[in-house]
Amino acid sequence: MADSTGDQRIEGVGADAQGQPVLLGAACGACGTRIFPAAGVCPHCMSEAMAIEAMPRRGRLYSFSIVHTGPRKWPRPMSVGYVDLENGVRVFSQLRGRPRIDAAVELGIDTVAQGTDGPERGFVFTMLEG
Amino acid sequence: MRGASVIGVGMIPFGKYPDRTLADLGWPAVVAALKDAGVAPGQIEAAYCGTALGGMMAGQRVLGRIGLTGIPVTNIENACSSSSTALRQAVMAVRAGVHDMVLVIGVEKLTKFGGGTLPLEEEDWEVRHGLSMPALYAMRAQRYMHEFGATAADLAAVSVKNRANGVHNPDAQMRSAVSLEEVLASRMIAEPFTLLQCCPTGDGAAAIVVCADAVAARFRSDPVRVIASDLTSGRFMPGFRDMTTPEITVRGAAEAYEEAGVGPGDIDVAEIHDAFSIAELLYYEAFGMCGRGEAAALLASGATAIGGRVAFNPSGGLLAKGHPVGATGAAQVVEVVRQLRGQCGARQQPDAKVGLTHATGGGISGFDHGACSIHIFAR
Repeated sequence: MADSTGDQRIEGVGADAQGQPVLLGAACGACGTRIFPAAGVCPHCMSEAMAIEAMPRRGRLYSFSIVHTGPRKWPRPMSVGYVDLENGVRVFSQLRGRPRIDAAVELGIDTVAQGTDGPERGFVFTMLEG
Repeated sequence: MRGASVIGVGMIPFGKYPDRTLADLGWPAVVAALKDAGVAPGQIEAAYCGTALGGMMAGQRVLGRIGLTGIPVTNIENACSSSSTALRQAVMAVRAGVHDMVLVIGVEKLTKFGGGTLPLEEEDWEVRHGLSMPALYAMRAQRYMHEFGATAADLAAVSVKNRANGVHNPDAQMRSAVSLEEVLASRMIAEPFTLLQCCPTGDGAAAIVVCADAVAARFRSDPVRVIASDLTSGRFMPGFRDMTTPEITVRGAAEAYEEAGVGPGDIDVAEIHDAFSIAELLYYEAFGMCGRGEAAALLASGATAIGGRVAFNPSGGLLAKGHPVGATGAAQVVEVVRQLRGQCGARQQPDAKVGLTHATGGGISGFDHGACSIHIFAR
């Protein structure tokens, strides 16, 4: 599951020193606010001293839904949720595994949609046991 | 500061009108509102038109049909709050003395998209990653159920109440009552929501005539005063936000109550944004009708039914009346004004004196909601 990002570039995703996928957010050099996805200006203090920062690969599932409707490109059913990363940043993502509120989750890469040019890869969060 | 009053309201029944243009949805609502007010078109000094997805110059397209042209027309997009935001602009213009008599329009044609979930802004990060409005509200519901122990039946009871109200509203899109079992057994949309816990998609239009208090009595003996006209936007939060309490509505409600000089105990009737079943429960709490986690018990007590302490969504709400997004805010005002006049027949809240409308929306990353507009009215 947690393989490298492969040939297809995934927006917002990079790799760490071990080749594991990481979400690339940003941290504000002025006030310390962290955001994902990265942006060039801080949404808290308007500073433009934003540096790209790898987000923690783990977090907890705040809430989720299994969605049976929506635009055609998405899988049906599709499990989605908000993950609160260990640094406090919240990320909306598809989920893998049976979702449970407050469960520990870890970042991975998987097929997330069927685009007009074939399958699209993207980031997902997978439930960890225990 | 001068006060503003509503002297005319009108709407078309919400529903599916794939063969009618936006302009032809809108003008009958305007004509109905002008007739209701006893106002001639030439007396309207300015118009404010709310639409979320109606495209450019919606107000001019509607008003061009009936020759109400050559006046300042302001077109407003604020997602589900579009026409309630238009009302706020109208109220501000009257209060400021810029105009004495203005028109508000809310109009939307969603059938042009061919059904399905509301199309959202594709530039938005979460939308591009699969977020839809049912999914967003469903995550609120799941967390609320997790924290407070609410059940699927607690949520479904909102639909049962509002669909029962809609039976008595000729302007409602859904006019049949549904049982708790039917709600729970309908098709799954986004867990925990079944189809009957999601507002229907459709088309509609509503219009409001607003004038200065000083001239209102010339037109009607029963003007409805606007005692609060509030608009706020969501706070952008890149990290944690509590999805069981809508911060934008909590702030908006406090502002509106302060402006009006009333509290939750003074509200007799409320049209609030029940886009999905969970929403009405969250808003009982956000408006201070009960404590945190007590919404399901409040609903079960009958306090929010017609004839209860405060009737929530006597029109049937978004769940029964329908939700052509840009028209919703204005249509809520149509209902509350009719309630305060005592014109609502079988769905009349007895002796309603103070009413509230609440339209909030906009599914974009980092916000609980993008916009929220609240009005309080009194007779």
